[in-house]
Amino acid sequence: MSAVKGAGEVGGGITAPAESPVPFRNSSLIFRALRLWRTRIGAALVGALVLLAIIGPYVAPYGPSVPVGEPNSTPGGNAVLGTDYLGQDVLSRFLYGGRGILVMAVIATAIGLIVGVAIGLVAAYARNALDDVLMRGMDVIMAFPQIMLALVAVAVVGPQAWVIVVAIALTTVPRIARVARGAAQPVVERDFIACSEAMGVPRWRILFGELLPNTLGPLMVEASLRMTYSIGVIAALAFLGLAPDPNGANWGTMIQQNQIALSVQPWGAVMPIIAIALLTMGTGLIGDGIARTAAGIDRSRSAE
Amino acid sequence: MSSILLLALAALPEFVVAVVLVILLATIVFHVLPAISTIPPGSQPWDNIPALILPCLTLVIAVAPYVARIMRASMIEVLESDYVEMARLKGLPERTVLLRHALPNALGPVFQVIALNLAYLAGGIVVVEYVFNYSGIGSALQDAVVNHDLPVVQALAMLIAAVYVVLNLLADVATIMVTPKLRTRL
Amino acid sequence: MSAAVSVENLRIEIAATGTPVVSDVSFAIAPGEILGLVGESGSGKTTVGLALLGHARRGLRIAGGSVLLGDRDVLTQDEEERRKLRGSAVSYVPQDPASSLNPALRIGLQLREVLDAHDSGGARDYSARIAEMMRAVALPDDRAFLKRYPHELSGGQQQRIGLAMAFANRPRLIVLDEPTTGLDVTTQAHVLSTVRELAALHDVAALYVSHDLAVVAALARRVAVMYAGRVVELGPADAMFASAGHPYTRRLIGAIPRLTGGRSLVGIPGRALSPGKRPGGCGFAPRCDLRIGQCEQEMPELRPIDTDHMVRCIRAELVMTQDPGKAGEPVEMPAADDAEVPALRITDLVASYGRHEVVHSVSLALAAHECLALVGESGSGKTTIARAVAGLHHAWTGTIALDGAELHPSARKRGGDARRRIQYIFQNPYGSLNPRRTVGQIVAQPLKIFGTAGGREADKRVAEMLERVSLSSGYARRYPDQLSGGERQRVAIARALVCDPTVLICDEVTSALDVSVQAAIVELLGSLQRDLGLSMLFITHNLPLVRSIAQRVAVLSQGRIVEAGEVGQVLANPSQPYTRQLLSDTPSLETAIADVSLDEPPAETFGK
Repeated sequence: MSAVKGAGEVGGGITAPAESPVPFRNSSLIFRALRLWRTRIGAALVGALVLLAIIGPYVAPYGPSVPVGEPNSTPGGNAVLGTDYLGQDVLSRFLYGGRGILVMAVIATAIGLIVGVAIGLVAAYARNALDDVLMRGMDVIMAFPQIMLALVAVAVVGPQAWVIVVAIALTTVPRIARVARGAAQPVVERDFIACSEAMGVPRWRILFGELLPNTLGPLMVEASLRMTYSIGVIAALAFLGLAPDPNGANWGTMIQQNQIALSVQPWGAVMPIIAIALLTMGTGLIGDGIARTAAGIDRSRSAE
Repeated sequence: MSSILLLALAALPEFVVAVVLVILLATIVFHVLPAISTIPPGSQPWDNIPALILPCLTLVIAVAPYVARIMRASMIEVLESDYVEMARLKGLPERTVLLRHALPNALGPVFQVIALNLAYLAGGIVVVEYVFNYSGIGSALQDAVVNHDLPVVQALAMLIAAVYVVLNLLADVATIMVTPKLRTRL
Repeated sequence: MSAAVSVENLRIEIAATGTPVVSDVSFAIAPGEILGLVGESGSGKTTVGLALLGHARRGLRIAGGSVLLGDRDVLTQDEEERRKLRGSAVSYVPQDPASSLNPALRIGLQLREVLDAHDSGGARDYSARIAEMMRAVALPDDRAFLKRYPHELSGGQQQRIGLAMAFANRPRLIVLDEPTTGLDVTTQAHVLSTVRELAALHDVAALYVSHDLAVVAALARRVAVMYAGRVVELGPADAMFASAGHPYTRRLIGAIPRLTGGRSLVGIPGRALSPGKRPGGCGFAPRCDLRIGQCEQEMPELRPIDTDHMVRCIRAELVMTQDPGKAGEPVEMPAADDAEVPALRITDLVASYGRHEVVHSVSLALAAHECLALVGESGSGKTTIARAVAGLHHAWTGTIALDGAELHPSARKRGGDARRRIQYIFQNPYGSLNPRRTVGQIVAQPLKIFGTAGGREADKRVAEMLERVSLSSGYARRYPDQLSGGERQRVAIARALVCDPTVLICDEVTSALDVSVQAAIVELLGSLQRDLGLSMLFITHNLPLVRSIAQRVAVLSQGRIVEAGEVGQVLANPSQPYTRQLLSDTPSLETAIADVSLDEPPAETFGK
């Protein structure tokens, strides 16, 4: 691909001014991002771990709470990876342990994304007092770190799944709203939006039919970032003992439960640590891959 | 490749970093630093410096990658700008171009990110406090909530929010100082 | 006396692939002489300009040739040597002064550093020199002014700072890259005269890169024309404009709007191809109507056809005897229909932005089937008026009536019929089409919104409309980013016309386009307006362009109509001083050629 010009920019017009963010057709953005090594590695990691979390319970040799040997025994005999502090099979608990975290993280991020995008786009399009009011509201929520708000919610109501999901969704909303607004503002200024306004297209149609598709690039990047954080916060809450099922298999609780026995039987804590680390790194890499692809597209469009 | 390393470090949840550091430096691999950083009531945190090293290291690893990334991205964008190209075409030495022309314009977004991360440090690191048994604001807030100690909850919430506001204000001031264009609107 | 700069066989290619972007470029400039380098976008002219400083933009590499400044070849110097030459022996005036000045530094500092960087003497006090530089470009020389930041200066002032920095170290050569783009005609005139004076005063050779032939004609004695990365013609300006030797130059000249005579403009069909896609043989052959078999087989050499006049065409002699053809014929303008109710009547329009009033009680009438041009410089309020008519600008009082029926300030609150009958075409072809929709979807959108046609019927109308604007129906499946600027404007026109509007508002629709494309679009609009009987409000800052499309013209200055009347009348005999000033400041080929031939010839002329 020529590094200098795209097909439509030579002759018959002055070179396209650099516009940011210039969206590409979004399927192409993901496919192009997948050309980068980092995106592929990220996608592979996430894919593998998601698969593990989903299929795990079906292939685990034992149930998550079945004692199979002496507590904290090293690998051998019944337990391929040894047993945890209660004598349960580490491998089985590990295979059961991803679902909870992932499901909650996905739901929370999805809710946050939908609400946040709506608020951000409305604020960007409104360009008036509504914009200010919405953004100040978002600022209020953002003043508190995510995990702190989740902790307070859980401490007040109880460590139930819906509480955690709502708390994380609530704190994700303003962060996404800010990015959505930032991405939408330059697009709102462009003439094709004015053209639709002049023709009388209803506002909601402009927002979701014309504005949203043109802000997908930065939104996808932010969504993967938020996913990374959601997973981190939910695992941290589990680590603190605040999982919906304190005795159930959960990567976060496993780390906390088995860290004492690290010198004797490391696998109980090491496996979940590796899993969480790889998962978050994977989502992070995907987000970064998309960001770089979008920036690269911008750059080659405004070259020369 | 260093950027991938930065990226990986930034993505890791803080408690994972904390636990890994404890494993590496305090309990399993090496035994050079204490695994716990309890501060006895009445004494100051800096009375026991070795106990502070691991928590601080954890937090640096949690926060520094973001600042590094935004600085890099901002610098790249500035280095491709028209005025930097013009500075080079004027025949200025490269050092002058980087320090006088590029850097001040790249700092704007960096201040915002620094402020956000510092604000996060005030209250968002509950898990790290838990790992190191350090009595910080996050743990204090959690205890207060569990014990239904409303005045303390209110006080701490106000404190955390105030830190956020002040830091954002400082970041905005710093941005205005390096962006003369914003000054004339005042 | 030797040439100030001598370029030989310059070749620049894309670093990654080796594809040539600029090839075989050679010319020389004498001290005190200004050479114009003309070309449209993609011709490589900016790349050549930068190469004279030994600089190549990201992704490009200077692959061969030599640039001799005196006896030193810039291209063989190492980086440190080149750095010393830049700003002192050869300097650059960029196209966009606003983005080329560092927004975080005071202008005094930015001026001083160019002196400091090249001063081997180590003198610390540059105040006197700086004051002198400021006076030379007609800017205040006091310290308070020097303490300003770039955003506190107007566009014209910023560009003068750019000129001051360029002339500061008395270079041998200055490269000016379209330095007046985006400036008002009046400011442009000042900047051009400053350039002329300083160049003559300090005996500096100058390369003036531009796409605007009229400006180049006013300034340069010799002109080089570039196409597809090569110089296709090189010679004295007056000879070339009177009778060009290369088909491209000839057609380019035919595309330039003139102030005298109702001239039709002729564009050039097809478009220039990007590096790597250019054909073997003559680069212009695919678009040339004089081509023969041999043209496509081998690249012609740049050969002399007259003293100091070189052309890269094997049929140059034939070209010079050609008659201009359609370009220059009077345009058939239908008479405006005064009997009917005016299509649009604006009465006492007062419009504001926030608390700032920008249009002061303007009254206009646009008769049915007429094209009215609204001319003014930036800030005159012409776009505000247009947007108010379209319902995009809401803060106004007064009345705007479409066929006698009053319109609401906001488009949303107008009836569907009113919205359908007024259509708007925007200036920026890169922003007016939704990048996520296909051309077919874009053109069909009004049909859907106004319920005029659906399904198959809609597809048919879209295809018809695309044909009407000279785009094949295959374009319907493409996305905007695959189209050139001219093609995008055609799509915008198709979209505007698909629902049979009554009034078409064209807001600077050609300002972002190359001259040859502009000609084609203006001709298209003109013929559509006449065929469909549209009433058109044509907004522009380009006075000569008005001649080619409008019957009446209204001149706006600072929110008021200064003069209005028949185009021929106003342009030939302006009654207001503002209009006269505007006309005299507008560079045009006719007056430029007259000026040039009156000046004294330089001491020696150089060619190859």
